[in-house]
Amino acid sequence: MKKTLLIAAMTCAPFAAMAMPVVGEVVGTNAAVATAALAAKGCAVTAFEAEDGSIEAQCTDEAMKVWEVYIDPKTGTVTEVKDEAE
Amino acid sequence: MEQGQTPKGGQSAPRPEVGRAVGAPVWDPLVRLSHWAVAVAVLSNYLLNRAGGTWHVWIGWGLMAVLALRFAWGFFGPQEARFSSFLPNPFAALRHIKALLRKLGGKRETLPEYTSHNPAGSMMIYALWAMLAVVSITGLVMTGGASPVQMAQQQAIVETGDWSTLVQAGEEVDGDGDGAGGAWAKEVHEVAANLVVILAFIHVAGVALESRALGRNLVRPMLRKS
Repeated sequence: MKKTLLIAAMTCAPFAAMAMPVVGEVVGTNAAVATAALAAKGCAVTAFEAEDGSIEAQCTDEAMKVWEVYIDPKTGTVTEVKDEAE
Repeated sequence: MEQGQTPKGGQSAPRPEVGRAVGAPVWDPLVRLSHWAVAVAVLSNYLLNRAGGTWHVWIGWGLMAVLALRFAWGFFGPQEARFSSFLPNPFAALRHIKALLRKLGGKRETLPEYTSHNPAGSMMIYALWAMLAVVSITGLVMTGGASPVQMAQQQAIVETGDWSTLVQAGEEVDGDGDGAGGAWAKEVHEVAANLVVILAFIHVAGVALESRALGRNLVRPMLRKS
């Protein structure tokens, strides 16, 4: 049983580390806090931009996939997560 | 008689007609500077800097200023820079291209020379200006008309400040217009920018072919006066 759990944990660990921020999550209302929060979720921020009422954080996950995370500037809540390539 | 054509024998010709051949075109400094300024601005905003970034917006505004100056020069500048010297004429442009191709194909063809832009070059210039105007207008729509200074201040807050102050100050957190209102502007901006680059490539190819046909480097007069 222990062995099964260990294998399951080891198998899932990389995916758990790559868990992306989700809509509704609060990541902060400034670049430093949001960078740390997104990094903790496995997405390293490369740039922040203002975009139509939102802050867009461009970040790269461990698979080097680029994501666009939209944040409400007033509340620091994630409003949308998009694959940059889409 | 078509604009820019040499008067035939028997007709009175008190002075050389604008546009047609009395030698190679001589471009005044403003035409030369605006030409290269536009080229540098297009290349840098298309290839080098980040779309929607501060440099992109600064260069876009610089491009608009250069275009405005050049358009004013089209009314008040020297003869060869005036719109009246190179009015758009698609049929003349087609005839010019056909003659150019015949000449390049080895046929005996005398290509007319012009003191301003030839008809094909003229059409290209108007097409480029039209596309640059579309790029500029959609760029303004995407940024909500914010000046480069305002854009830089906003970006500084985005990168280092408290984002909630952007909302509290009543500023629209705008950026490069991906939202519903700006989505169409972004699409048109990108398509027009691509067209500008495609037209610029055709322009360069046309200059190269014309230079070969005329046996004269047409880039040189755009670099220096003589």
